[in-house]
Amino acid sequence: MRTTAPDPARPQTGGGAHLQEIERDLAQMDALLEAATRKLIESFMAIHRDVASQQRALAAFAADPAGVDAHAARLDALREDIARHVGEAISGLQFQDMTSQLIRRMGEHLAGVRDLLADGACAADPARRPRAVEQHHMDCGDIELF
Amino acid sequence: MTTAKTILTVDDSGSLRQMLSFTLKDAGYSVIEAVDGNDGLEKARSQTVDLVLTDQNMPGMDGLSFIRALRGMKNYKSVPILMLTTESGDDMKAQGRAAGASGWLVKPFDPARLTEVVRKLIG
Repeated sequence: MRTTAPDPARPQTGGGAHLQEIERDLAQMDALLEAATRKLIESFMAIHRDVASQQRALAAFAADPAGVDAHAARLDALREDIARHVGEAISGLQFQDMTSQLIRRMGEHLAGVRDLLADGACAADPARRPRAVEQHHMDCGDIELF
Repeated sequence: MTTAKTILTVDDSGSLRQMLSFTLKDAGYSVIEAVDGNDGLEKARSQTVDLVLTDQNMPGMDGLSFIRALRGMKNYKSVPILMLTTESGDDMKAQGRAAGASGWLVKPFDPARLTEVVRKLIG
């Protein structure tokens, strides 16, 4: 799905404002899902490749026990590579947390539209709505110690 | 034999808690999970915790309120508390710092960097 982000230069009011927010959240969710999927595919392919290399390294070790140091170093390097790719997959899998927050927000906006269509009443207090998600990609976030 | 340090993770997302537990247990820590601020306070009262990792946006009690309440408890005056959240604005970070957070981590987290920070704080 390719959604189009709403034009921020054309602010809406009432039901239009709710729909504009939903459009914005959908576009952001689309971007996050695409980035996460790409990251996960790359991670799983890399893990698959490294596990195959690990099998070959073990077979080579079994065939040549005399070269233990070289084989051990190769296996260590592969273990580190696999751990790194698993870490990248864990980062990619965090899309669920962010998209779930966006879905909750969209639900609140849809409830607002429903209320407006029903009796023109004001929707729930905007301050109680889930806050917008800032991320538009799946790169790992910053760390700051106080 | 040394006892593993205990980390309390507070997040309403089950998948996030699962990934945090996997990462931290793999690094040798013991992990307690809580689903929101209220659950986190209950777990913190009943068990000894060496470090707390909390989300901000949670139903019920949010992360900032949870940190304030935790800092009010005698045993948690100096326990490191890290905020792990999608929020990255300076204003929110300032509020976190004022509430008593020891650090701010923006999601998505990188397991290696998270482990590195935790090691720096509690060994």
